[in-house]
Amino acid sequence: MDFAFLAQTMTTLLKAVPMTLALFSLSVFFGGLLALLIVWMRVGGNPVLSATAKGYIFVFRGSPLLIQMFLVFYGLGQFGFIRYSFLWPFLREPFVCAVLSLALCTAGYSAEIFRGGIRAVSPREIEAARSIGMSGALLVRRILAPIAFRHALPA
Amino acid sequence: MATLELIGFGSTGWGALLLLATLMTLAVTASALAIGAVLGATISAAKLSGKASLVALGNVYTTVFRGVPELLIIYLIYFGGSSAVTSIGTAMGYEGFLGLPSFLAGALAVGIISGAYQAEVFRGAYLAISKGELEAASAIGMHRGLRFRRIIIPQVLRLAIPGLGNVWQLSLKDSALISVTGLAELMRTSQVAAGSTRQYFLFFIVGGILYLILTSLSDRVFNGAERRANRSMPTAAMGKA
Repeated sequence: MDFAFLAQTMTTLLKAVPMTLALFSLSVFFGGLLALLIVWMRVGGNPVLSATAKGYIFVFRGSPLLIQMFLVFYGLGQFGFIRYSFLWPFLREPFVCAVLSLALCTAGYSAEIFRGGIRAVSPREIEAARSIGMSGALLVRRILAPIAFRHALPA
Repeated sequence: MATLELIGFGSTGWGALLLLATLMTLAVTASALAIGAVLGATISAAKLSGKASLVALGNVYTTVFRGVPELLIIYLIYFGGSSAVTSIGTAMGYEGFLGLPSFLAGALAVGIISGAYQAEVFRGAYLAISKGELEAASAIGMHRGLRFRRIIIPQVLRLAIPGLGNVWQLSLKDSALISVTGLAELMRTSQVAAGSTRQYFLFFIVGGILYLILTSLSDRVFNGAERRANRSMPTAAMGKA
């Protein structure tokens, strides 16, 4: 066993840990925000929005992350209007591309988890809230969101 | 029209290769699922055995292989396996590097991971069998082997179908990572096609669509299997879940 070599490798590896954590936390944050938007589109009554959200979830859960990442990193640069737009300095960076594709992919999965949480809220609780005169926003904030979040937590 | 030619089946088209690669992805995923089924059944038996040492072993297996990134396992099996094969070769008098076949390494790596997930699926299915049925089987004098074959196996298989469908989808997407070993599966072929034609967007979209076709088709197959397995169940609350 070459302990000096092992120690040296370990320090090199440990230096990469913050990068992993940064990628993870940023993509979970943005993915979570996007998931909220998608789940709102999905469970809202509008058929067009609901179909769009369904399509999004199908595409991002049905294809491998690696192919999504390559599509963002290599694929987008192929288009002139992106290459010459103000976005290019950002989209050229591997870090931004990684966060973007991770967030897009996570959003697909989280949206389904949130939807499961929302469906687990008993309709009676919603009826009860309505009957004491809660408005839509108040209902979501006080009843739907806390219960759905509690159900979604293990997943 | 140049686009259609590129993904078509003509002499300059990548269509045939992409189709072949799709079949390769299916083959490697199916092998991985089979390897995982054997591993998963063994591990879940260990976890259900009640012996402290076996339970601990099973827990370590499922924790490690569900907690470590798939890519790392693939690298470990491919490069670790190759160096093991090389050292065996050297011991037997063969000079130089011997590689583990990438299909074998990939199927093994994805299989080991899917085994960890399948172990949990099988364990959940076993625990869902009602205790009364097991007692009834013992009460009419079935011995362990018969009870296992007639009562436990059919029900575990039925209850495990939805979970196995999930594991299959996971493995299908994990198999894209096998492309790092150079196996000409769907991901690798899209990458090569994209690189040599400089049509990155086109080929990754086509690759993605082929994956979507695979996942949605297999979703249908598993739904059909679930309906068929549950066709004689009285509480027909199945169907769309």
